[in-house]
Amino acid sequence: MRTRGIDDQIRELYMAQRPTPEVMARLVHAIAQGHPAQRWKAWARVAAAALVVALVPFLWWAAHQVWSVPPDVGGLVAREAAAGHNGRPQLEFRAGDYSQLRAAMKSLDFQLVEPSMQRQMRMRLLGARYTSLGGSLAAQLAFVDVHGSPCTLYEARPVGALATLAPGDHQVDGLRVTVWMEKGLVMVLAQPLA
Amino acid sequence: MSLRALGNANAADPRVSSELDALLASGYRYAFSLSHDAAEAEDLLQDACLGILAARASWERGYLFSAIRSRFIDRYRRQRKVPFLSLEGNDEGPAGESASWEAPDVLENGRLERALSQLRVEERETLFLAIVEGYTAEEIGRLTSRPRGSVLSLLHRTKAKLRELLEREARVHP
Repeated sequence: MRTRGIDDQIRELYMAQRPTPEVMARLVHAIAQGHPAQRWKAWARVAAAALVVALVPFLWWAAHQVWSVPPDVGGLVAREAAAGHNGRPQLEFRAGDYSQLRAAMKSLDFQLVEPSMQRQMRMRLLGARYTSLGGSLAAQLAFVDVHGSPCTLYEARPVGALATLAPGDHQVDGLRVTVWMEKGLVMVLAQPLA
Repeated sequence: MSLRALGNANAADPRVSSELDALLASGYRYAFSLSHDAAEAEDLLQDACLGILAARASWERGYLFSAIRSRFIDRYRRQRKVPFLSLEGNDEGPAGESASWEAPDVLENGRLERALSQLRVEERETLFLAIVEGYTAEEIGRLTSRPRGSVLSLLHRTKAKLRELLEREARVHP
């Protein structure tokens, strides 16, 4: 029987683990957006240093108001929601109504609420799982719409990165991802494009 | 280029992109060692990256690992699971490198993955950091807030436990 060092086998097992190419591309893109290149020639650095000394108050203001490129939190959250929808993770709680889910998901730091769109769109609740969205604890709820298509709704408190999230629609990976606020919670719905 | 420089560099630059790729893959593997679940590991990595972006912090491995670790603990505390057990009183144990051993190919038949899944989180984490990332006991101690002696002891006990689990696996799934 062939034998190998256990350390080598452990190393091999972990080195074979990689995030999906979509997640990798999304993160590299987000990081590239968040950290634009800063390439300066030597003379420009000297001139910039002199300017900084002379114009500290202006540069301080400018760094915060003009040159600071905020990360695209809305796009990142929409892509995160789409990835969660397409990944079809296993549901931790199967339930057909919100009261059952509220009773089961006691570790959420908010109360699950039924969004108004659920009745309007006649979506049927299947269940939910704990997840995170934009770095915050969230509930991921699975539905099917009237056509039998799967939809995913995220509910979370508007804290951290989610506090800066603007309402609106995003199109990601063949999905429409809609962001809105309702009853004090951030709602993010991922559904197939019509 | 050091990973420290990533914070001020252009991620579109192929050299930086490959450094970044390696950093993210390494972060993912660390998250996987904690959660032992691919979807959870991706969630943890994404959360940690978003946190670093929001904080405008630099892209260093130590910083990324800390961000992943704190999110993992936070998440499991909220779910009232207790993944990390106290190591108080467990400082006794052999110091020095824990020896590797030769084993039949336990990777191909899934025995190794099953055995790893039965380890406690801190055991799997320490094993990963020592063997895969090549961290010293002191570096593991800094990341996990444990004394060096506890890390060495934990590593030694974990390897012994893993060996037992693999032997049991071999009996159950010959």
